[in-house]
Amino acid sequence: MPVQLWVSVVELGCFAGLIALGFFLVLRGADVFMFALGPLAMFGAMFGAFQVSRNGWPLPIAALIGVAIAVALSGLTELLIVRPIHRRTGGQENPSIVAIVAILFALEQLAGTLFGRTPLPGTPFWSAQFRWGEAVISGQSIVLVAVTVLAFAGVALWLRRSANGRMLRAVGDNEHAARTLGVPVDRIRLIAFCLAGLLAGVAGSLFAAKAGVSFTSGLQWTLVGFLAVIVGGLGNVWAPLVGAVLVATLQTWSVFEFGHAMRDYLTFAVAFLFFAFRPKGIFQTKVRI
Amino acid sequence: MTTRTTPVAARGTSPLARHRWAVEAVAAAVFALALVAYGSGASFRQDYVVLICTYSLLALGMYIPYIMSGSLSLAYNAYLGIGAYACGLISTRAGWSSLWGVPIGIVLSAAIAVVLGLATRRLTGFYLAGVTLLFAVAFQVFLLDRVSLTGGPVGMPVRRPHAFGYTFTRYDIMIGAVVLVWIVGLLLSRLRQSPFGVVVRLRKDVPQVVESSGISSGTIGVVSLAVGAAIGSVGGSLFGMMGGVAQPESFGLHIIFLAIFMPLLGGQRSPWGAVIGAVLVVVFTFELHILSDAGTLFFAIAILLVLRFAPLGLLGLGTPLLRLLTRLRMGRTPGGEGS
Repeated sequence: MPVQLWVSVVELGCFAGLIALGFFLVLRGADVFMFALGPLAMFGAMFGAFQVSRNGWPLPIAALIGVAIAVALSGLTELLIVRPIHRRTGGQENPSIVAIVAILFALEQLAGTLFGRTPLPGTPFWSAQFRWGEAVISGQSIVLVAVTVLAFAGVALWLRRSANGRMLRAVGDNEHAARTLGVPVDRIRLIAFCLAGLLAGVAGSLFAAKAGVSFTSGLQWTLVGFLAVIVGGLGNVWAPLVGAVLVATLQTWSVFEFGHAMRDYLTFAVAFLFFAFRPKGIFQTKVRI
Repeated sequence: MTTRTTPVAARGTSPLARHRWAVEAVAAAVFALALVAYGSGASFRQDYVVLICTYSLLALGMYIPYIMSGSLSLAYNAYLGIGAYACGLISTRAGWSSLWGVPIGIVLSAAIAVVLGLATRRLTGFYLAGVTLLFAVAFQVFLLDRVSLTGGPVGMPVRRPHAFGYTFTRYDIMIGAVVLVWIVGLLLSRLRQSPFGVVVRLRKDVPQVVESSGISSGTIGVVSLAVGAAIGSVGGSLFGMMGGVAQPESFGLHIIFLAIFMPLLGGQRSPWGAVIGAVLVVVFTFELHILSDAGTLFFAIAILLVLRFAPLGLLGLGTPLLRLLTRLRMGRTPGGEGS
């Protein structure tokens, strides 16, 4: 595989890792697979790209508002939809899944209606180009890598050191027990959703510069993040990143060797094999009893 | 109530005893006749009726796994597609009657549902939803990519079905479709009330009870996924035979969305809720000229409203009303309880 493709692997890996970290946080904190994170990232990115390309807004402002919208939508999803349904059904998972899938489709179509159904170009934050051997590395990829490392390190520290982070793990492990112990479960769940929205928003606006963004990107992004979580597992904060890099390598390689269709077949095959043989991913949570 | 036999009377006022099969069958038959009468007019109306039937079978296919047994599979676009493409392939490649595609589609989609269900058997529902969604995407790519097998973006023709030297007309297919929905609806309604159906429904709420009765809740889940996929596939075959063509765009991801939406909209207490949901979706899409793009947005918001404010669906809204009516009637005729 040419060196340049490895740069793509790193970019895609970092992006999928950020989305997967969002999944990880909501899974640990609220025990919900927030399938709508991909469309949230897409929605924020499309907002930014639309304002920059059509209305000439300065990039930082457009991107910032795009990210803020992703955070707000994620929080509202929990407050208005998931939490009431979760309460009413006593924690059954099916109604929550259906609601989240409905939000996924709604966000996709809403973005298509508001920002148009043609792909929009993303704008890089740092448009410098560096040559490194045969490969060309853009400033934007350096930003993406730096943000990813910072985000993972930040979340790892936050989960270990801060009171909220530790409570998040407690709520995810046993919501009922956490509530009995006086942990503010509602607040913790809301924090998990908002943080996930933040990660998705940032990831989307950074990645849009690479290949542009269209209203159908959301589902693809969700699926690649989902796969990263499946491969990586939930045992460690860094597990989603490991999973994401593996998935990115596989996807880039399969496109290079066999073309786009094979990527989707292989993606499904990998998910299927992991489900069948290692359903909890590479890094598994170990519980001492 | 004096005419009732002892075992029924012993069950008292439980919901099992109160079900009136004859009433249900006749009411559904009247509705079916109305559909056929409507479809006897202009040619486009026949397409319209078959579309209602296809969506009804799609929604009915969701009913056992999703509403009754509580496992959400999102690969229904693939099951429908398999049904339609099986009919197309068997009629154009092998030159057989496209009716043979129906059993082939049933077996193939049920087998896929079993494999996907077995892989995620020990995991929570999110994982089944995820892996079936990945399958749905891969299937769509497959239809577009394997041009030699599926005809690519333009799809492939499905020949008119024939049997014993008789070639079925579009009108025949429409009648067959309506009868099929009537039968499947009644069968599911009976199944829901049968001992097996009770076990399947128990699995959704209290799987521990099912397990402690010596029945594997995982197996029940996988079986219901297979039956649901098979019903969906029949719907796809019907759609393909009526349209005379199987195209990738008919089996896009919007089908998944309709599949989870229709049974919830109509109501969960009866399979007929799924049919009502299908009728509403078709009528709304065509009569109100909601374009398919914005239509999904409209339906997505509608499903969120239903989930949030009317969790039992439209039939569910009727239940409190019915209870009120019964109470009024009971008040008027003293001693007539349970009649």
